[in-house]
Amino acid sequence: MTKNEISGLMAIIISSIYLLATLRLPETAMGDNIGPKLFPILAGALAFLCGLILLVKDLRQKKSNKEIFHLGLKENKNIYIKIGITIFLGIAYGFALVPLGYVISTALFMLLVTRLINGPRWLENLLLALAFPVVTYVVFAIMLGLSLPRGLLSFLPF
Amino acid sequence: MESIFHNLSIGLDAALTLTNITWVFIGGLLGTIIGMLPGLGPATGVAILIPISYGMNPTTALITMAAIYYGAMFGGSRASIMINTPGDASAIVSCFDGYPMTKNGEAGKALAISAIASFIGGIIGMIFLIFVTMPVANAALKFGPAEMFSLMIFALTATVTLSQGNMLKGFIAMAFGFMLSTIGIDPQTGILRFTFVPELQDGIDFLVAMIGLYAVAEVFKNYSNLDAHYTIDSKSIGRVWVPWEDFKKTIKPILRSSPLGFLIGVLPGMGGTVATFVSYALEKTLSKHPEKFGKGAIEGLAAPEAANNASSCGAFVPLLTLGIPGSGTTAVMLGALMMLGVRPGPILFQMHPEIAWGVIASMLIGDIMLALINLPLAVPLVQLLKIPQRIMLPVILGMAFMGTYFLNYSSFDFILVSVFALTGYLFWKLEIPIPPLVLALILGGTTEQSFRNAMTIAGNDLMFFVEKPISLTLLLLAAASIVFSIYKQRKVAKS
Repeated sequence: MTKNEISGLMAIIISSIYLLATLRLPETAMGDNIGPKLFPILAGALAFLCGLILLVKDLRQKKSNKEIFHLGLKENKNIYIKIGITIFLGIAYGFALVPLGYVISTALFMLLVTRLINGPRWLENLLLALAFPVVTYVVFAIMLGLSLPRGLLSFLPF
Repeated sequence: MESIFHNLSIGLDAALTLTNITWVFIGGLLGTIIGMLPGLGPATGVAILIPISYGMNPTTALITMAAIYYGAMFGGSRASIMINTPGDASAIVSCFDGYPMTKNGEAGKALAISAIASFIGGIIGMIFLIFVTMPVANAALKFGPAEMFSLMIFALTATVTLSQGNMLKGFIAMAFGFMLSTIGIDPQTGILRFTFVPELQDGIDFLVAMIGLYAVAEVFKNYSNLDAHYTIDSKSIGRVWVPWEDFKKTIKPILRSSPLGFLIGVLPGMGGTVATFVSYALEKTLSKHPEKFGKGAIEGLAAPEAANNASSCGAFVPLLTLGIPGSGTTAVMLGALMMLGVRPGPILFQMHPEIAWGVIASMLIGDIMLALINLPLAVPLVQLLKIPQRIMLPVILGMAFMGTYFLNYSSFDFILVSVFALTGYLFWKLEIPIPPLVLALILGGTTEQSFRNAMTIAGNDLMFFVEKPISLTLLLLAAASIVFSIYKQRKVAKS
């Protein structure tokens, strides 16, 4: 499958789901003649149409010019795993912020992320994982006065 | 004429306080560093640094953001010159002659001329900006919903058609952006649209989208070369200055490139990247020694640098006067402004001229300040390029996620950032352009509201958009750009 074919297919599928969801929207309230449906329908139709044209144009093209899309699940496995872990850590970080507090959750996040990217260089990772939250906390919470969750460290006066 | 000076003095008055000047310095410095580091670029960098402005009053915040933006324009080419790796797309052209100059042992000269040319380009751009803003803002006051709608359609279409890449994919990205912009409560009817989760009721914050699409996706793209690190031979940089004979060669190219860059910057969809490529091509054509270009010709570095800074001034015209961002970075500026409760547009000039002119005045001050920063501090700043990717990337991730939290204090946004990061990565692999998506996400709401307001006034008569002259012109321009793009693609396909 080429890049254009996948792009076209993706556009068709996503816009179809979107258009189906649009049709389930309630009809117009009083006073507004256009209603909340028209614009979404236009947007979805645009995506659908362009996706269709893109797909058809690409299918009709001769094989030699096509740019094949290499998902490369095998050779790039490491990268995709890293991306997955990064996302997991990122979302976990978001939900850990309030219970654990900014400094602790950021330190944990940085430690794990540096381990992921920087490898098992524990000293560097530890230094970065401690320096980053402390420096940013000082700059944002203390110097600029923004509010950051204290979490487990609420007993501290700053 | 005198009103311009009056306005400028209001602006300078607001800008020239000790606090503000300090922040111009800090912002400019941070911006230069951010713009310099490959993989960050001005748009992402400005987005990540927005939290700094939260504790400030609106004018100071604006001034700081403008300084960061401007600093990033200055900094972007440092990496191009020293390590042949541009800090962002508009710094690509600086590699062409900047890096050869370094290889010839002229790194100091290259760094100096890049700062000086940027400075002059900025001054010229500022002069144009100052004179152009008022007429445009006054004209924009007469814009009704039909004109606003057509203007947005033109801006969005131009972003797709005037930039590189497959036009169909660009429109798909634009449509996706519109679709995303419809998520949330419909302002006119109060109906919830596509909010399958309560946190989506306020819609999708485009700054969250941008952090995901630009910063985090950029980190993902770099996962394939984690061991990258760059070496810089500081000793061979030499004195960061330009001797007169060399500078003489660059005067005319700079003077030609600046207005050109400004004009390109004003147009939506075209910004620093196009400006730099066009000015380089122009200068190479006009030069008496075109063969020197690409081997370390100082004009080949000076011209695009001037064009780039002038174009960033140009980009401020639609942003301040109409509230329409012309590029990714100006889109982030728009986000920063909106978060401060400032709605750019003609009303801003009427109600709060001191804010609008304060920004313009501080860009002037910033231009001077940044030239002063970049000349003596060139060598120490450039050392930062030595930091290896495997340290940079975690820091970028940390700033991106931390910055996300500061936007809305919402944990759900972390899920959104991740979704957008995956989207950005996927689009990159599929070669689908991202700017149309971002701009449609930002402008989608206003576009829809303008459309519906116009239809209410017109009594559902679609001809309304065509009857009004300004609206008709804009729609025709949009159509023309589509035709032009199709023609361009046919030409490329045939050759």
